[in-house]
Amino acid sequence: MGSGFIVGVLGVSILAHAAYSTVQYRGLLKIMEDEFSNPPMNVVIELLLGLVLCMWAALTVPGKFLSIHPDSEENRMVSLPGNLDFMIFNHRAKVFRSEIDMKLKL
Amino acid sequence: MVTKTEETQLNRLENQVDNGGGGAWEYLCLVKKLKVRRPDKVLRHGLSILNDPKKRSALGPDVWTLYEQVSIAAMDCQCLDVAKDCIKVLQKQFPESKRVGRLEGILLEAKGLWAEAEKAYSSLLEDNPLDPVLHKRRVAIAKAQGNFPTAIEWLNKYLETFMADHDAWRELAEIYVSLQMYKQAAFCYEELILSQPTVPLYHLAYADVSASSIGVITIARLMRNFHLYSGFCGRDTVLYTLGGVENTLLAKKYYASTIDLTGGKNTKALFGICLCSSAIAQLTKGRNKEDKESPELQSLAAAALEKDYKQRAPAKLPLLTSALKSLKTS
Amino acid sequence: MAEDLVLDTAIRDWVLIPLSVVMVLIGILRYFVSKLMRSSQVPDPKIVKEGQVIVRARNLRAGANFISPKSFRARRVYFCNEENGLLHVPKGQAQNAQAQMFSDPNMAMDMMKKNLSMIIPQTLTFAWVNFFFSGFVAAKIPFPLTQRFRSMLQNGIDLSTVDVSYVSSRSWYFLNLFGLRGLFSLILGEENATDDTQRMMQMSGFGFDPSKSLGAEKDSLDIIQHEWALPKFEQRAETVLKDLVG
Repeated sequence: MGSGFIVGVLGVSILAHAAYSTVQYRGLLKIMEDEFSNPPMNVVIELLLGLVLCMWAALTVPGKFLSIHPDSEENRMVSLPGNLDFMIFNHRAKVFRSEIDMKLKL
Repeated sequence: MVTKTEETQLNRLENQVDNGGGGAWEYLCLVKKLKVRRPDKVLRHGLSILNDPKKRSALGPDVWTLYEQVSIAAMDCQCLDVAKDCIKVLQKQFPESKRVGRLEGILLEAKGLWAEAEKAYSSLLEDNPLDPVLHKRRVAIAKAQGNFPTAIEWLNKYLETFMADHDAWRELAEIYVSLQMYKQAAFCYEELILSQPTVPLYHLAYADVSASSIGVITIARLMRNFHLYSGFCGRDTVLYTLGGVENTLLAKKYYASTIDLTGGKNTKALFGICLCSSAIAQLTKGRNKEDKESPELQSLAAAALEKDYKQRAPAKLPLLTSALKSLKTS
Repeated sequence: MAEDLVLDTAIRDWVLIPLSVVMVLIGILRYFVSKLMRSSQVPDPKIVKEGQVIVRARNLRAGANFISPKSFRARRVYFCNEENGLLHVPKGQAQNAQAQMFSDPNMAMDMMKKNLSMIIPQTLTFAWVNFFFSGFVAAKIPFPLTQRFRSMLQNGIDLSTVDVSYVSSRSWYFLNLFGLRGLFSLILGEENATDDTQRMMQMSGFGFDPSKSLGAEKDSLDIIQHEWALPKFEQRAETVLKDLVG
């Protein structure tokens, strides 16, 4: 969590810096009365770097990936749930009383 | 559905709670979520929470569902006094509730007062004729009395309306299997496979029902001799019956799909492959082999079984090898 | 370029905040009123059954390849045959369904209640806002926006020179109306959020015809090609076991 989170913060701040530089660049263009054709090179590099960092952080920070294979350990079914809607009480507990001797205190 | 990780988690929590560690509430929640039946544990740990005013008040409104859970567990243990007390508390809190009314009906059932329980359910059904749980309880009453034809009749009537309820289909399948009506059970299992195609246990059960009658003796012997640790054994063990080459082939296919869906970790499916293959070989002996069967599957399954036994039950390995040999030669 | 407008703090205290508070309170009030008026209607067994039939048919369509061709064909006939198939809707009945729905007084009553609880407070609050607060510039958002947002943010102010980041009071009302959903779900619990947009969607969905979806399900079941997947599983099981053993 720790390192991934820091990387994410770094990525976001790089993106923010890229945005800020673009705004500045446009302001400069406005003063020089030039047309905006494409962003400067360092902004593009910053953007790509920020994208990679953010993506990495987004893939690692929120959690681990889980398997989607039905035969993986997490998904492998080993037993069906008891069909509790149809449970009946007519079973061996009638004969073998459980030794739990607790009462509900009211 | 209980997956492997959930099962280990449940067992770990159970151990921890039984040995006096904390986490009783988490354990009870997990039991409820996984819908497993552990009445004695639920009763003991649930009561220990309910009898402790501090813990009880910490739960907030969740305490009422705990009362419900404990009361049902108490009925399951035949501790009817506790169940009655729990229901009384719930009744005081929710005087008009239908859910509590249902619990009272279940209490009558647990006492064995079938007619009274039936009456209680009928009067509840008048208010709400489409309550699925009430219909299911009526089936359970018939089943508890050993009156299987009536139970089947009720279930069929229920399924006519609620035909997407797979729990009911499963119940019907199990009743049919217990009555050895395998053809009907096979239909129900098909329905279950349709509704949840990725659950290997339905494939397995379907294969069991549709495999050949020759297998009955063999697999029964095998089950006695070996300790099967796959999760799906015991009460649910359905033996082969429908018979015939066609059904055996079908069964083999479904055993194969079970192996695929469990990653080859289901012991019973491996046995099934071995048995079906040998049964098919026997049945088609002398006939021209028009359909190309994969002979490799059987030997692979046998090898997998041997490996599994070597790992988990080395003492029983000689038994296994001799049985597999007899299967091959017969 | 627009100079900064100076907004009176009294506007904040007497327009912006009261408006938001009133909107929240009305939302909560409406939730409780609609809870009071909600009648516990008994669902019609026929409709329940139709829903379940559709679910089951959909399951059949999705999982068809997992059962043998024989079983699949039997089921398809069971669902689709022209005499008494589950998905088959007799011709005369299909047209009646809609009319029947409208004639059902309970249904109409329910719709009325829903509509009333939605429309009445809305018109009242809108009239109230219009009467007292029309023409105010109530707030300023801290970032610049393009001209297209003018109609959204400056409803009720017909000045084209005001910077778009200023929000008029009527627009503030609309923003609150549609934007408070998250707050309601926090206050009233997740599923209780009174959501106007969603309710409007439901409105348009009224007149939903179960027989139509039955027919659609029947058509798609009719054209499905059955391709049994199980023979393939034998090979897959072989590879699985090979990996396991090897």
